[in-house]
Amino acid sequence: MTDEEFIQLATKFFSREASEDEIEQYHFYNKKKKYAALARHIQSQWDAAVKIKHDSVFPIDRGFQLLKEKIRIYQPSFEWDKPQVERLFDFSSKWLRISAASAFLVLFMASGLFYFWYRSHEIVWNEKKTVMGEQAVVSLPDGTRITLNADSKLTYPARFVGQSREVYLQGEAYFEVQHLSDKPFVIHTENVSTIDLGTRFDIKAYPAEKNITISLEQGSVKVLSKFNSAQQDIVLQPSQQMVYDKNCGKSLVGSFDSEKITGWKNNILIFEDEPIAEVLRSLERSYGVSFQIADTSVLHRSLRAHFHNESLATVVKSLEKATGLASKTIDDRSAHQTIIFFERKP
Amino acid sequence: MLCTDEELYHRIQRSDGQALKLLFQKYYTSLCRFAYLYTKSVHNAEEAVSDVFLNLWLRRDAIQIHTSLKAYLFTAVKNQSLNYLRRDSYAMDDLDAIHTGAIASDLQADCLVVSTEAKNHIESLLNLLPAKRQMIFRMNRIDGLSYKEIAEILSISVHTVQNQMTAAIKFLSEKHPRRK
Repeated sequence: MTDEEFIQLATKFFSREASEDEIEQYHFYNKKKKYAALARHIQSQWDAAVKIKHDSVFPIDRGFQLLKEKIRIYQPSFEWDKPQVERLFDFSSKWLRISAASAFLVLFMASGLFYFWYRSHEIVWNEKKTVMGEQAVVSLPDGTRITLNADSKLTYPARFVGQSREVYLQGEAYFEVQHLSDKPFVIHTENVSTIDLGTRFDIKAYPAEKNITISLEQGSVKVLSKFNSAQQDIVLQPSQQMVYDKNCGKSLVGSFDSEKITGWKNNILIFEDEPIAEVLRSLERSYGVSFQIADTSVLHRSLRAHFHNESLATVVKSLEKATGLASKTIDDRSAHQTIIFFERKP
Repeated sequence: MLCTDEELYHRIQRSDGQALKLLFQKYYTSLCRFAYLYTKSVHNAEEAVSDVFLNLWLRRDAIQIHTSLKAYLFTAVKNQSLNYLRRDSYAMDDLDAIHTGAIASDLQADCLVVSTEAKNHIESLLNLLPAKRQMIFRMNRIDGLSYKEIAEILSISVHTVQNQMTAAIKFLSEKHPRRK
């Protein structure tokens, strides 16, 4: 077998196009010294060709906006998250005109009544936002205490009216809900709503991450996911955690380590075999800095670390040790720090 | 936790806008990068991809998927990108005529990753390959398409795909910094 022939075989093997015979053949030749080195080089280059995202070149939000506008030419009321009406009415503009006209008439007649009804039920919404590196506490009029993690937003009413107490969360927060038997407390996050009757739990729902995680310490909560008729409501018991995959609406229930999940409140960060990319993301959030690594293959390695209220300098030193890279810190004009990791010169 | 494309497409056929959103999220970046190699314009690449999804949504009860949803999307994006090319009067039917250097610099300018050892960095190596070879390699390694799907999308033979992949791997392994 020539080198050329071996490369062809290896290519088929790595791209999973090899037949059973060819797989056997590959393993056979791989054992021989002559080809083992070549195989190693091919493998390392193959592994290195990892995904390099160009999200900033093709931002998905722009894509969503563009597609929505195009669909709306044909379906003016199209929305991503609303269940769509049966196609019967979509393409006939006559239908649209008729329904629009009748809707307008009804609205006009009802507007008088509506005005008075609305005024008596008016709700004023407040918003508490945190930036990177910042935490905040919100105390609600019913006695509920909410600790917001960095880069998060809580939208809540000035006072609770009606049958339930409802708030909206983006990011992460730890909830200590005051028990009120006649008024359940509901937290809305992207795709998922958590109903609670008086408990302590953590909800992690960052828009950029693919999962929403609800971890229950005490009491009980019920979690509903929107628009997923195949999914049943999930009730969590203390020490249970639900991880909801936003990509396909499926959830997994398991246990969790309390310190690992809620440690952030005391600036305790625990990472167990997590990809460095995620570790850096969490650290960026907690410390309010930015990280950059030249060698993207490092991002896929896993890291195990416990940071108990450490200074940024200590954290950076630990990362240097763990990755074998050196670092350099850059301060820009707005006092924002960027830490760059790079290979030490031999 | 994986949501299969088949599941998503069945939901789309039942007018589930959420499923369309999920599918869009899943493939948007890969399809834009793919379109870009034809259109050489970020704007046209995005337009082509959104046109394909628009068509998928509007004609969801008429479109039949034969091989895979992924292959369908890539083929449709290729065709739509060529439409934009023709519309903008580029005489580029032959991919290899596209200057790979231009592609590399346009995309890397917005890349957040700073490379200190550019010569060995896999991304720069890939950009040295002829356009068609590079595209085939990316479609297999990064977008996860099989030889059969790639052959169908690009209207070439599986044999050609195999040869191109082998040539790409050969090039990459030769450029590997050999440790003694």
